[in-house]
Amino acid sequence: MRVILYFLAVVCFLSCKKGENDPYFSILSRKERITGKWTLKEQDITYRYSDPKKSYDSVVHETFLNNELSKDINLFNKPLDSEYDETIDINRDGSYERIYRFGVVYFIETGSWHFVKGSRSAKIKNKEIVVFEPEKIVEMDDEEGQQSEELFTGIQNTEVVFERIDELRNNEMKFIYQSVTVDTKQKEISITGYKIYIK
Amino acid sequence: MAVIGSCKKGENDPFISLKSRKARIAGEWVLSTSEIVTTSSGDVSTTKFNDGSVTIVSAGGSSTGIGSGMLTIDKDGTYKSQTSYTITGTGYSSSYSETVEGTWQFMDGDKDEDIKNRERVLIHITQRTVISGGKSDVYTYSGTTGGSIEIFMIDQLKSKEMIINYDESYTHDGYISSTKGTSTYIIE
Repeated sequence: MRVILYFLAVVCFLSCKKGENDPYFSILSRKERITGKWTLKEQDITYRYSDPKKSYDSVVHETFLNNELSKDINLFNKPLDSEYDETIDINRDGSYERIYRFGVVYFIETGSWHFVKGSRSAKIKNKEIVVFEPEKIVEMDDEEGQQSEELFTGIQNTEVVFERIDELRNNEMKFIYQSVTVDTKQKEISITGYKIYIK
Repeated sequence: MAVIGSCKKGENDPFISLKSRKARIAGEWVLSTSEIVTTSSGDVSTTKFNDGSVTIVSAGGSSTGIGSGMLTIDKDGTYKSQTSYTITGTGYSSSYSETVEGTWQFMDGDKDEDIKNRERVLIHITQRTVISGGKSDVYTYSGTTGGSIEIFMIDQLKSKEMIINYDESYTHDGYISSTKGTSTYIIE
């Protein structure tokens, strides 16, 4: 009995759920689960801009399914569709490569990643947030080769991206977005939605 | 135990300290001296702060003024920074003040970047208030992925003195911008 309890304690210590919808426990550590090549499977994100002086909101509903990114802008008559795909290769050594492609144009982003420690004051669990710090973004064109290059160096990387992991399984990972920014004039920008990646 | 709890992390940290890093960073820090050099498209601007006086030197000339800076870092994880200055020149005067509120936490190290554990501090901003030209703007950030973030690097953390390093650069097809420098805060 003691052995079983000890085993369960070890398993739970290694891999208890962090994201809201994580598996209850996993034999693989969180680092082991996140490393690998992830492909964007589905995306549904809504950007809303509200101005109390206006009678309507500006809303962009961005969806991705079956290699098609669709931006439905409420002020336009029809959505803007484009061919799209995205992969993130997250390496165990702390480096990553993210490639996102719009038709013949694609971007290669390389940099470092790490989990953020839990913080009661910031209301985040340990390893619930993964940070991507790009060091280089290269714009490529299938026909014309490299178009441009952006380099980010130094200790205060301004391009740092925070992703909140809602679910991290061996073969599926879900990032969720939920934020609101309000200014003095009560203009509000909100972002809600999710992205699902598969290995 | 004391050594384990307080080995040096920042480049110029004391070799050992009886206080933990968290105990040392908590407090009301007052800006003592600072020198920040910003570069954008070849234009270089140097801002110096020394015990309440501010000097800005750029290709267009120099201007002086008065200012203050304060960081309030609590053990409970809350953070507040206040910066204000008034610059005066021939026939003009310009004031700026910024208050940032949020939460703070130490960041893990990064071997590739040669950054040690707890050498960087991550700020999750929940509110930013900017007063400039007589106009006040307040921005609030909320939500699970909301807000804005700031990162600063501690070069030295003593009980009553903290030196923060700034080092950031961006290059894009020949365009270069950068911010480099240090700020020294003290507990009075």
